[in-house]
Order: sequence, then C-alpha cells, then structure tokens
Amino acid sequence: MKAVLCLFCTLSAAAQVTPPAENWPTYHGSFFSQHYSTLAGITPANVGKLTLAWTHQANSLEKFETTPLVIDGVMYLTEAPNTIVALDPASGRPYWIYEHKLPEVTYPCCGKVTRGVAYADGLIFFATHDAKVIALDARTGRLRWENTLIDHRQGYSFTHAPLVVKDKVIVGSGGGELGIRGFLAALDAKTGKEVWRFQIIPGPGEPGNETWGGDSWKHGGGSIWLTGSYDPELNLTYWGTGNPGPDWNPAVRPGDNLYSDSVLALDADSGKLKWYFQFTPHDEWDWDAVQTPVLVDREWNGRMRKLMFWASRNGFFYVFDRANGQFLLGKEFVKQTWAKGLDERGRPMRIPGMGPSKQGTKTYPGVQGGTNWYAPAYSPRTGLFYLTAWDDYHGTYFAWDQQYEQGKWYAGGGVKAPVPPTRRERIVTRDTSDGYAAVRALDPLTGKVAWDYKMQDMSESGLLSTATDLLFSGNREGHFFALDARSGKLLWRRYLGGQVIASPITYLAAGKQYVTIAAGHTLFTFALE
Amino acid sequence: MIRRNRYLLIWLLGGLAAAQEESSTRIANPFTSDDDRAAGAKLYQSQCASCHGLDGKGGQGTPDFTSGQFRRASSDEGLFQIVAKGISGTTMPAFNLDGKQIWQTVAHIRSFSFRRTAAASSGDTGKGRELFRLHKCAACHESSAPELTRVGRNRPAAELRRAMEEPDAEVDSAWWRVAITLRGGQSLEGRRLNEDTYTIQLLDRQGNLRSADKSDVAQTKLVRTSPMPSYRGKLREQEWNDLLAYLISGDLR
Repeated sequence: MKAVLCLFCTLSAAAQVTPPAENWPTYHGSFFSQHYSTLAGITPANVGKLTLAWTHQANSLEKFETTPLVIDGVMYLTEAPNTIVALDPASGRPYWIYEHKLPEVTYPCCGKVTRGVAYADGLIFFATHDAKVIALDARTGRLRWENTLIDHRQGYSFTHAPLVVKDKVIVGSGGGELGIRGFLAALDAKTGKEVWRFQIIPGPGEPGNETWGGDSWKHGGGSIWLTGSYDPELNLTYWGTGNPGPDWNPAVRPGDNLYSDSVLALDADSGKLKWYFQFTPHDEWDWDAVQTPVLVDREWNGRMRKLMFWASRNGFFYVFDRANGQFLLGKEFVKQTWAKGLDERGRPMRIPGMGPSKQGTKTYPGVQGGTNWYAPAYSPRTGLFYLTAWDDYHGTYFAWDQQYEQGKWYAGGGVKAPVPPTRRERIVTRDTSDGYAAVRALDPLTGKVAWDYKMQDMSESGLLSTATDLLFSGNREGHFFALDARSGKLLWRRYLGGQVIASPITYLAAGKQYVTIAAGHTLFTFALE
Repeated sequence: MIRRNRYLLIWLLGGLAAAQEESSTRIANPFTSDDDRAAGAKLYQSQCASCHGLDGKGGQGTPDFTSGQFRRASSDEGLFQIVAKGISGTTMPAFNLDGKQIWQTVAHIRSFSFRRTAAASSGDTGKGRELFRLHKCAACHESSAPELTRVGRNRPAAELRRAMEEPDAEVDSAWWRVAITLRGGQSLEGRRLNEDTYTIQLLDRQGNLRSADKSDVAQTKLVRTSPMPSYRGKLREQEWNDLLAYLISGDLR
C-alpha cells in the first residue's frame, strides 16, 4: 500500500497538492482544498463495519468547529475559544494542551469559535480572537513567537486556520458585522515578522476605492474567516472575502464595494493582487464569498486547464481559469430570486426590489445562502463537485439606519427566517417547506445536479471524499454518514447526538485508517474493527 | 471603560447579594426612565435587532421578547449578564456596551412584554371557569392539546380569541399530528414530537411515546390542522370576556 501511495508523494511544495495520504496536513486537506484523500482502507464494501475508536471531549460549550490536522502521528485540534490540543490519533490521549489567554471581551460576531491550525517545519500556527498569530513548538506546545496584527477592540477577530505557503503564514480577520476594514497578512514563519499585508477594502488612491461612495470604505468589512488555497506552480494564493459593511443597509455604500464578496488571487511572495472576481457586487444580503477555493487541473473544452470551482453563498456555482480569473461557467444550484442570471462575464443581472427594506423583503436564498463556509469536496475519480446546499430556503431582509461606533455591531438591518441560521434546535418539528439541506453532487463541467442526498433539517457540515468513492458528511440533526460518491446512496450512518459544524478528515495511524468528525462538543473517531 | 467597570461592579455585588439573601436583594435596573428606555430602543435597534427583530418577536430561532418570559434569565440582572457576556454555544456574542447602555437596553427589552390584563378586564374569571368546564376544554388541554396555565402570559387576549375562533389559522409545527403506516401494516397516530432524516418521534393516542424508523414506514401523513373546534359564534361577547379573563388569570385549577 505504501508503495502505491508514494506514487503521489511528489517533491516539496507540490507534495501538499496531493499530500502523503497518512497525514491530513492542512485545514482543507491539501493546497488544492479538494477535501479528498487517497486512503483506500475503508471502502463501500466495508464501511458498514465502521465503529467508534475513541472520543475527545472539548472543554468548552461553544460551537465545536474544529477540523484537525494529523502530522506524522500527532493530531492537532482546536477548542473554543482559543485552545490547541495535541493528541495521539490512534487512541485520543492528549500529549499537550495550550490555552491562549484572552482578554475578557473579544469580538467574534457569532460565537467564540475557532476552526483549526496550520503546520510547517515543526511549528503549529494559530490565529486568535485578540488578533494575534502565535507559533508553538509542535512537540512541546511551547510558545515560539507571537505577533499582534491589529487592535482587536476595533472589532477584529481571527477564527480560521492559517495557511502556510512556503516560508509564510497567511491569516485574515473576521469582523464583517463590526465595521472592520478587512485584510490578509503574511508573516515570516520562523520569526512571526509581517512580510506583506493586502487591504481587502482599498483606501484612497488605490484601485477599487472608487467603488465605495464617500468614506464608506473605512468600515467596509471584507472579512476573512476561512482558510484559502494555493497553487505552487502559479505561486498564487486564493481567498474568499466577506460581506461589505454594513450588511443590510447598502444605501450608505454606493458602488460595487470591492473587494467584498470576492475571490482574490494574490502572489504568495508579495501579496500583490493578480486577479479577482466579485460574486455579489454591492451585496445587500450578507452573502460572504467565504467559501473554499477548490482547485482542479482538468480538461475544459478540449484542453487541460487550471480550474477553480466555487459554489457561492449567493446561490450560483462558478468555474474559473485560476491562472487569470477568466469566468468560464456560472449556474444557479439552489432556488434564488435576486438575479435573472449571470452575464457573459459572470456578473449577476439583478432583479430590482429584492434587497432589504423597511417593511422586509422576502428573498431566496436566506441569509445563510445556497451554501456557506462548509467545505465542499471534489473527487478526481468521479469528477464530481460535492457541496452542502440549502435549498428552497428564504429570508425576510430588513434595512435601517445605523451609525458606526468602534467595536460595536454595524449591520444596518436584519433578517427574519423560519429556519435558524447556525444553531441546532434540540427538537425539530419544522417540515421541509421552509427549506432543506442536501449533499448535492454537481457536474462541474455543466453545473447540473448529478445526484442529491436530501435531509430533513439543515446541515453545516463539510464533506470528505476518498479514493474508494466514499463521501462522508454530517448534519445539524447530529448524524454522521457515508454516501456512495457515485450515486449518493447511503452506505453507513451513526447518530452522534450533536450538530456537525466542521469537516470530516481521514488519516492513517499505525497503519490503520481513521475517520474523524467533531459533533456537539465531542470529537469522534471511527475505524474498522 | 471606567464607567463600564463601575456598573459591572454593581452588577457583580448585586449577584453576590442575591446569592446570599435570595432574590429580594437583587439589584433592580437603575436605568428605567423614559429617557433610558428611548436610549435603550436606539441601542436595541443598532446592536440587537439584526437577530432579534425590531419588533422583539425574534428573527431566526431567537426568542420572542414580547412574551416577557426569558429562557436563560429570570431577572434584569440575568439579562444584563447575557448582553455583557454572550451565551456560550450560541451565536449570541458579548456586546461592547458600557454598563449604563446595557441597563438601558434591558429596559427596552422589558418594555416589549405587553399589558394583558386590561384587554379582558370586563370579564368575570369565575364565569370564565364555568365556561371552561361547560365546553370540556380540559379534556384535551390537560393531555394532548397545549397546556394553558401560562397561555395568558405569553399571548395577548385578541390572539387567544383568534386561536379559538380560527384554530387552523396558525398551528405551530410542534402541534402537528402524524399518521404512520408501517410496512408490516401496523399504524401509529399521534402528536409529532420530533423528526429527523431517518426517524419520527410521537406521542400516540394511547399516551405512549413511540419512535419510528423511516425505513420501516410505508406511508406518512402529516396533519397540519388543529383538532380543536372553532368557537366562532358559539359565545356571546360577555362570555368571550369571561373566558379570556379566566385564561389570562393563569389560575386554571
């Protein structure tokens, strides 16, 4: 098995494009962020025998959004608010625990969540709610360096796993509901010294500033709260940016509001913008483009191209040439009522009157969008793109006046919806008439649905595909399950009793394949008996 | 910042006192004047209404403040603490407001709960109790139908009357019924308590709690209407007032 696996073990940075199968080396599994594993021990034939190997209880009642790493026989996971645990991935027993001490008041918008860490050269990198990036010795958990990137009291908070590209650690800031001015920063991995910073909301004199009326750019949002991707050959790193601020009162920020709700392609060495694409210009609904940039090398119209697949919160699925940002395909993947479609350059053709209003405007999709930050997956074997979709789901959007005050909520409106956006109801009596979730398989060449696995309640779970054509996911109901990646047929399921708001991972420990998922306040790890 | 700390201190001391000497010594909200409420309304709009609704009726899984009942707090102090610290495991964050601003916001949140007693003040609770008996309301409302002891606190009189005149107008999904035919031919029928992708839980007509696996189910029929008969035209105006006064009294023994 090892011999076969090492066919994929190419050199240096490219190793993380198709990483060594025994590890789960980055938040998204690889630089290409396909959430795909080449491990083949668990198959459709034996997945029915998957059984609980161990659990780890988080010492926190916050939402458990961790997606762990596994590096050479050690698992690294995060617990809310800002704790890192290193443990044995075969037994769950801890090696060390690092608790970052936070000030009394921090500013994550919607729960004191933390999603993961990054690893490189014996160091664990972590970004904190008080806007620090820290590096720990991966063996001992000792602090190696710490750098404060901005004053968190202005509404900034770091919740995503950093991305390490070559010798740099890249992070961005949340705070899109608190009037921040978003940025991405790269730090030297050895010293923590900042190397470059890209302002997501351009200032006066910078290209894009003209897309903001008056001084509105100052509190324009454009947050980062999910890890990006990287193409070593192009040396470009890709990141999805958050909503413009204030979320639901767009009248105060006339213009397209660059680079909110966009994918950015930045030179990894300099932080210079190579290209961008804005999914929802002048967003009125809080449809962050905070999704996983899924990178795929594949034939398109008869020639091999470097592609990027993107299912946006705004309800459309996109395909780009990731070398230059050329828009190749756009197609809606859920019910939406705000755009007639996309024009030839991918810009939405808006239907007037669907934005927020004083009396409320009912629009599809609702505020969580057609999908959100939950990781999609791609399988190079099936050629399908898999995502967690929220379909037939709406919100009623309200707008009102709001003044900016430092460190305070700055949303300019609100949303009502029959379906709670990010919280599990312990009793669910709703039926699916107000919306439902599905694991949806799209043919990325056409955007058409290949198959659908519908659920009763919503799902905020990420996905994992494997070389044996398994697709793992969970849901808000508290289930964790495996589907046949070719047909969507249910092959195995377990009730874990707590909502899944993270992505499954798989790895080898002592030669055995494991699958891990966070649910409720517990990390569950499964293996064949 | 200093101001914030001062009020936090008051609040902390209040909490200590409350723990030692019961609720009678709990600190009352010191900021409840009309000006405070007005300031609180502004703060509520800018800081709270995105999720809780301008009308306080909740937005997306957030509680209905107009009921005056709070799941996670029983006092102004409790509400203060929630605004200051947030709620673990939910999307409710800690808010960057000083102590006075938090008290003013609490004053506004309190003002959402409506005045109920005035609406049916002309009713006679004793006569209402007789009507309640005569129409055998308890036959259902003491078992399968909604419990009514607190209904007058949670809903205004006009809404209660509408629920009796048009029982099908708005049936919360928690009261939907389900009729299930299992593959073996057996049937289950009752109030649907919970449902997920793979199972349905119900309270059947015999009062048993049942859980059905959907893989065993041949057919499911969901009944979204209410089994309650309409009382439109069946009561005189004074009788309506009597019955509503009785329901609102909360003394349904």
